[in-house]
Amino acid sequence: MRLYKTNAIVLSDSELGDQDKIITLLSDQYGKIRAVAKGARRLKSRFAPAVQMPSYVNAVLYRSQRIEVDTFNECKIKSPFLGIRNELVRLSYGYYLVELIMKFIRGAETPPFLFDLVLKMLFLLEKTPEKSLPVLMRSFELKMLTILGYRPYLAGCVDCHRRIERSREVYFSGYEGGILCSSCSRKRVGKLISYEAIRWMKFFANTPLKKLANIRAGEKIEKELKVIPESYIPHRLGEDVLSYDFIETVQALEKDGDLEKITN
Amino acid sequence: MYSVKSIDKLIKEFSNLPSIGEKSAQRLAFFISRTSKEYAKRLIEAIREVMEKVKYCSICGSVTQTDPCPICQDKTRDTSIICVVEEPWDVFVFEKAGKFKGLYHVLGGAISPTKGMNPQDLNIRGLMQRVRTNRIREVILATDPNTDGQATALYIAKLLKKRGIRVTRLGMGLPVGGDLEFADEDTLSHALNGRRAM
Repeated sequence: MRLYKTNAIVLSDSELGDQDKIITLLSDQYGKIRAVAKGARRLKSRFAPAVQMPSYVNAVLYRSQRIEVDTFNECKIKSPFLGIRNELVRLSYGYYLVELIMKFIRGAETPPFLFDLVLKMLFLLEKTPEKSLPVLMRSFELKMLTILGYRPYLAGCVDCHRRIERSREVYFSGYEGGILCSSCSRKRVGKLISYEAIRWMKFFANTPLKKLANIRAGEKIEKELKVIPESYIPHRLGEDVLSYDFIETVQALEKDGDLEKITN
Repeated sequence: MYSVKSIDKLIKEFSNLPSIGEKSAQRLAFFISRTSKEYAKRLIEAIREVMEKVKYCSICGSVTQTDPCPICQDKTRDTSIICVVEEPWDVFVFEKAGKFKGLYHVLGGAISPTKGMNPQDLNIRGLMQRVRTNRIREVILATDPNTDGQATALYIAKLLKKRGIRVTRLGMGLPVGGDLEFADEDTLSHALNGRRAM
């Protein structure tokens, strides 16, 4: 039984009875935490404004020895990320980001550098031009995967380890965990990808997030790099990231032509 | 372990209800076992009536015993304003306040992509159909003042604005009876944006 203080990012909530909510947080020290915010469903609750995804908060929590869920004692907002919450495109990326963290972080420890990376990404998500968001997200994914030890193998063919030459065809396999040369791709399932797309992947994995705020890789490369969220990440997780579809839905809505398809 | 089969069965059924854990289910089951037969009959009859008579309005999606619901049939209401809410019980809250005289539209939830709730899972298509076929002047978005409610409101607002319809969101700001010193950044910014002349 003890009180402890931590900086945390609000990942999700679920209702608990008539008045309360269970909040899932990513703490800077204690990994993923679940805590009850008493009265958070009430309009006048002192916790309700603070426990909104993806707020950055300073929380005082009470840990009981008997139950696995902690209880909020205090919760102060450090940044509510209103720029994300009030714009649909940014919010769709925000949902995707928190779901990635929810699914990749299982235990009670936060891997080193991960909390800072998520926080940096949220601050950038709030103010980066919308057109650069796909590039920023691909870079975040690769950095997160590197921290967690899941970085895709890009140095050569994942099967025969031979260097990939620019003149030859390259394939990417989410299942195999990296790139495949043309001869190995015959026995393994992979998706044809350009040599440039692989170079961009390496660049995104190694370049600081804030330097990518105004960079665009071009429509063709950005489309090719979708193999990371659509194939690589689901294979590493063993399940789909549900909110990825929402990003696609919002992008379709942004284009006039798709309006009828969505609403008819 | 000692157990009574019928009580266990009832506990199991009660524990399927939302917000009811095993302890609460046990308490309810033992209450039923002690209560009068008349009360038990009334309870069974009430549940049966709900199952047989209550349906969803084919226009607004609210719960009703007649289709269309009495609100959609009411000729005295302002048919040019639609108030969009998440759940059927939100309609009851508005009607209890008695201030809104327009029509409603129930979405059946809010967008929550991490929980698998996407726009396609909500009754947004029905809303767009109503907007296309009726003369609608204004759509009020009365979704919950949280992130999922905001995502839903932003999504619908974007759809409706493309059709040139006036879209408003319920006012958000300081609650009546609260102290200003406890207001957070989000609430205060909403309160400031929504300030009015005196």
